[in-house]
Amino acid sequence: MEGESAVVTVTNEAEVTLAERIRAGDRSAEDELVNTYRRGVFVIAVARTRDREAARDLTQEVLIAILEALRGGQLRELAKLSAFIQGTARNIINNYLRMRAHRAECELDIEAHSTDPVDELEFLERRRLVRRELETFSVTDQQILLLSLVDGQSLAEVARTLNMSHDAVRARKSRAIRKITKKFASLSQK
Amino acid sequence: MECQELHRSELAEKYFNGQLDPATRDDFEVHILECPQCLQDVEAVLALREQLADRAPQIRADSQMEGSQFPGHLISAALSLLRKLR
Repeated sequence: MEGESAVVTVTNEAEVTLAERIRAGDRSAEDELVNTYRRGVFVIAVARTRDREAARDLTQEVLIAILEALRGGQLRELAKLSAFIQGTARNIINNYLRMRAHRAECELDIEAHSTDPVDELEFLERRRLVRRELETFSVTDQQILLLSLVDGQSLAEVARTLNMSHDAVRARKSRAIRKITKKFASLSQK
Repeated sequence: MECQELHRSELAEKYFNGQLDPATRDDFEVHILECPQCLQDVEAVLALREQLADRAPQIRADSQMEGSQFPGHLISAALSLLRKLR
């Protein structure tokens, strides 16, 4: 689609400009990069480690590594900044997971973690919002979400477990998730 | 990856459940780094998933209560009566 490719072009141009500015020593560009990618890197770290505390530290580590690489002009294809960030995050997180496995074997203590109070407040507010919304759902809707999102069951499996039609499960699940994402969006706009 | 594909294929859920192959997982991660709207939706799914995991015992208990046509205590009483009759 014409509109979609236009969006992609703007994104790539923005990435090139940002990377060039960082290479040129523009400190405000570094802040911009951190603000643009911090949340995405954090989600990746949470998904891969399943540990929020570790994910916070890893997000910082990834962003520092990216800034150092960009300052040193190590990114050859500037338009592929997002892919570069994803690759860096993946490598650093994989190294962490290997070390964590080794540390668990050696039974070493885990060091204390620092938490950004603004991030923590935002996290708690989102958590409250989701809990409040979830409590308004029927038991069946909560069960559908639990079986699919946490237990990893397919729609067909959920339908079989609850003795419901596939379409009914899909519709109820979509409606519930849409409600949560809308609430999330309204919180971000505040 | 396009935004529509992410939603149509329920990739966020599969991502958090570790059900994506490595190439799709990489594409998915690049996309959420590029697209603030999809990132927000994925964050919502993550928050929902965490909340559900916390409430899982309660939800399972509630659904058992609601779905059970033959409550446990009645079944126990019936079995006990049968044993006595023998």
